[in-house]
Amino acid sequence: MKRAAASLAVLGLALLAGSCGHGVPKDEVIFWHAMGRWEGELLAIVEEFNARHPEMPVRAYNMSRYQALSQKIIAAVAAGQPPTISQAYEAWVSEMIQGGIVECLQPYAQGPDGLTEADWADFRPVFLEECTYDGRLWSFPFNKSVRTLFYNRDLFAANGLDPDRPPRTWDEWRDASARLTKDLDGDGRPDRWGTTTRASVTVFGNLLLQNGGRFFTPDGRRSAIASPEGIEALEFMWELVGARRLGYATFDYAYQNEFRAGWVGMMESSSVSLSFLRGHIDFDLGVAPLPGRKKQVALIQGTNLVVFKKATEAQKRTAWEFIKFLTGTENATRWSLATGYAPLRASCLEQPAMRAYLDEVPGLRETYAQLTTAQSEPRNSAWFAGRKYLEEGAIQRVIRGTASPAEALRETARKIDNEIASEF
Amino acid sequence: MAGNAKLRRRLGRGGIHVLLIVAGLSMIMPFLWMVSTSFRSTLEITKDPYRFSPEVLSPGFGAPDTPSAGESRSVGRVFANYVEAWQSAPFGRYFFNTVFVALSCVVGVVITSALAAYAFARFRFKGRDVIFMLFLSMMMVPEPVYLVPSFIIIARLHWLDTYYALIIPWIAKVFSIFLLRQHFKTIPQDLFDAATIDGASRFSILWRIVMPLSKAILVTIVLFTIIGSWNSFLWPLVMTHSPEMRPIQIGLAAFSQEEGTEYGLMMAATCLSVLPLLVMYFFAQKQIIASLASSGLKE
Amino acid sequence: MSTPITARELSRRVRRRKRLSAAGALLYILPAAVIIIAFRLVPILAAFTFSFFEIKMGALVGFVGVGHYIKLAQDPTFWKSLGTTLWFVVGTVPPAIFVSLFFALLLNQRIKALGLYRTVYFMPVVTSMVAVAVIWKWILEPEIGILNFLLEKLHLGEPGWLGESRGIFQLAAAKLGLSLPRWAGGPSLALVSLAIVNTWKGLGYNIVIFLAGLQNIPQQQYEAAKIDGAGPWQLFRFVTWPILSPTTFYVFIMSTIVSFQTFSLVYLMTSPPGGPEDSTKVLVYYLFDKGFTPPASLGRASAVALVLFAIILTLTLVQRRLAERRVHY
Repeated sequence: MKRAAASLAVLGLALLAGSCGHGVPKDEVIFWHAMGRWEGELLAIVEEFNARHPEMPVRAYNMSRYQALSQKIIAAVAAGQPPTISQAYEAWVSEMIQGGIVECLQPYAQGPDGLTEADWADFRPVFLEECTYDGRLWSFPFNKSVRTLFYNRDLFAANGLDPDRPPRTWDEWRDASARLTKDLDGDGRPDRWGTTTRASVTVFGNLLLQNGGRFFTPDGRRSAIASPEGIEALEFMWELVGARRLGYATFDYAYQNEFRAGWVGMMESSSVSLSFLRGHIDFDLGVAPLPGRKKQVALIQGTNLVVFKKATEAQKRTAWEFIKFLTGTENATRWSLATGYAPLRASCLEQPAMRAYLDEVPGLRETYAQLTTAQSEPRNSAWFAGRKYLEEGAIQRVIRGTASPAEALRETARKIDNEIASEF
Repeated sequence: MAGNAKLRRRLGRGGIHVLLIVAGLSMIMPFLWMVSTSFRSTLEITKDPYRFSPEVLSPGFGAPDTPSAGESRSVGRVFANYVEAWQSAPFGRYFFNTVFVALSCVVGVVITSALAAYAFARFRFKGRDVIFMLFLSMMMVPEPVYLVPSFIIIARLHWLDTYYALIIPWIAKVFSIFLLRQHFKTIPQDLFDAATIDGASRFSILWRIVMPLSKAILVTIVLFTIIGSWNSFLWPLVMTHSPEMRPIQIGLAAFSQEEGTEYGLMMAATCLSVLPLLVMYFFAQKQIIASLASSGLKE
Repeated sequence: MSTPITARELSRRVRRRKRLSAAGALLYILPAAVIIIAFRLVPILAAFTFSFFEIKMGALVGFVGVGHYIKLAQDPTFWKSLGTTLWFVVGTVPPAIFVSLFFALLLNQRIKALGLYRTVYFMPVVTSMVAVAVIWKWILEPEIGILNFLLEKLHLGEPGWLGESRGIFQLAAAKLGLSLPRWAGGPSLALVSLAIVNTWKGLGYNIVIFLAGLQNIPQQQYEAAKIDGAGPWQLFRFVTWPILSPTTFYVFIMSTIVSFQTFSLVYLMTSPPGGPEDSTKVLVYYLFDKGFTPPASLGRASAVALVLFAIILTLTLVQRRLAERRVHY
């Protein structure tokens, strides 16, 4: 019995170590994505690419959610059958680099079929920086968004605020929220609010950076969120959306529905929310860059593309061709228009269709202009673990009123420092 | 029951019915709320979330000063969410996959369980109880534990994204073997002796005598297998990736996006997914409940 | 159709049968065994092997010995999730037994429309878990869900349900103006919400099982007890409960096993899954999270799997022991 168990266990390990890539088609490029809502638009671009490359078509598979996508990637890598291309968050990419399963894109980008000088200059620097590790490009920007302030122009006008002048500073933001918050039915509790958002790390991160703070100390050895700037940022967040005086934050995405229903004057969200809002609202929508304090800055979000090492040379070359095609000015513009993701390149803004769109949505031009100063989140693994502590253990507890900003941030900073110390 | 006459007298028939009706309402209201929401647009839901009768079915639909001002009622408007749900995903294919996989599993489970249970219940052989306990202990291992190794095996068999991956690993069920074994043990030995003396082979005893005597328990197993197949989520999610291979549960989960859930659409899709099994249940409920009732008693 | 046979012929047949037994029996078990070995046993043993290696995003990185087990013992989230699992079992198994038994007793009063009640109670059982999760998520939505609307009408407040990480004891104490330390807060309201939904889904099945058990109790037993002057409580305590014990034991075992393995509800209903603040992170979800949420370590997840397996196995053995002593057949 014991011997049988032991030999089975060895078999189990052999299964993992010796798994090879048989059964994966070699004459097509497999692209795993999670763009459930915009699958049609993505497939249209894929079809156009395939019409030009009939010898090795791209097959796009919709995993519907990022969560499902990451599970599938892990299982597929373990089985030795990863796709050719996949969407990936940077949290995944740094692990993938350590696991040695993704292809470095730098040689492709600099090779004969690489990016031109004009291309390098055209992409928004923040996007390329986020994909660069130790000076080399490992992933490629695809569906990126930038944080945006949405506001209800009708409510602004009805409450003595200028719809053409959304708040630009924290103070203006606070004042506008106070004006918009009202008790309409006289039961002593407000039923219309100034600001709403999700109680998330991203919202806090924006405030932290705007206030001149940082996520980590410059040497990267310690967390810097519990700095005076960080504490002040979380205190402002509490005041704005926690205390239930000027607004509120939800713990999921319900806040979007409530802004959409006209119950709230302003919403801090991702630029992608634009596509959830347009056509679903019966008020005049305003879009604006985030208000700032010491700095004007907003975080970017969304995923990038990676190419897996396991693919054949031909597959990798076609994959690179496809990535260039997908992120070229024409398709990047089209994708941005359909989805609300940010234009990846400066040249996108000069396209006629984009120009018409920017004229149609007031404030969107300025919102996208944030990309010149936008930043991305840190990418070290202590941050990926710490991010969760920060969101659930600090931000959400503060918003609920069960912890004080200073105390919660200090506790979280300690946990993140432990993570940095315990990496093995 | 006469034994509880006093309980009955004290509570009174009315009291019992009140309790039962309250419980019944709590069972059925979530379904009705789902149906009601499925007929409403996102805007209607966010404007007035707590409305039970959908605007589009109410007399005031299209009246001025309502979100539906100026609209006219049409079949397309009433079923707008259903049409959108149906169009945004290949529900027909999902249904086919779900039913095909469930039925294949049923056939497999009944055959493998009957054979194994027969051996465990009526044969004497070395290591019988050890093997049986080993099987039983497999029941205690949660799915995420064996998911990745199974994935690797399935991948090496080139079964990923095929019906094999959804069916073959599920055509043997420990719980079904357990249920059948308990039942087979209750069949009197005389029956077997008589059949043996008549020269019947062991297999023909199983097929001709034991199986017909086990109809009720077999219905239970069929039901469990179908429900199990209907409830399985992680496995089909990981083992398939093309829409042509996906069962309805996975298709439904795709409607719930990470951002901005459209409740009306979501509920319409859920209605579509729930309907087939509920309809099947309504037709077969007598048989189902009678046989289920017999499953819990043998120990 | 039997032809008379001699005693010698009969004993020959019986001997032959015995000889064939071992090989024949294995043949009968084979189909099930092949599947179970290939898709359960081997994967489980493989998982055991994995637990000694570091595997990042599915890629083998290196051997770490018992490193994962040490890390596990040091991880406060692991211990918390162990506690969460126990709370979930405590919150779902007793209702599975007592609430169902209560309604089975009511239904057993020769009441009218028995079939209708049974049909309605059984509906959630035949509804898929994904659908149940979707429906209840909408009902429990804190801001625009129907349940909070009704509660607010009754002036019972608007609890955060699936978004509430605070313990129910803590919340109850807060209502009374008291404040409890964090360790005494009890299971989070989010976890209790999951337990409620879980109970809702399974209630009908258990009612049907109990009802069958009740209907099998011979009438004479009650008559005899009544002659001895037993009241309704004594009838239940000394007749119904003991005779029903095999059914109760069955429900107990099955719901415990299922409860320990709860995963889909957490995955489908909470956001972030296992949250808020890890308060619904039962062990199986903790395992899944370690293995599948980047930065993912399959090795760590496999270590959790082994611990979980050991726990469930031990519990089942203990339950069996208890049952042998307590259950009256």
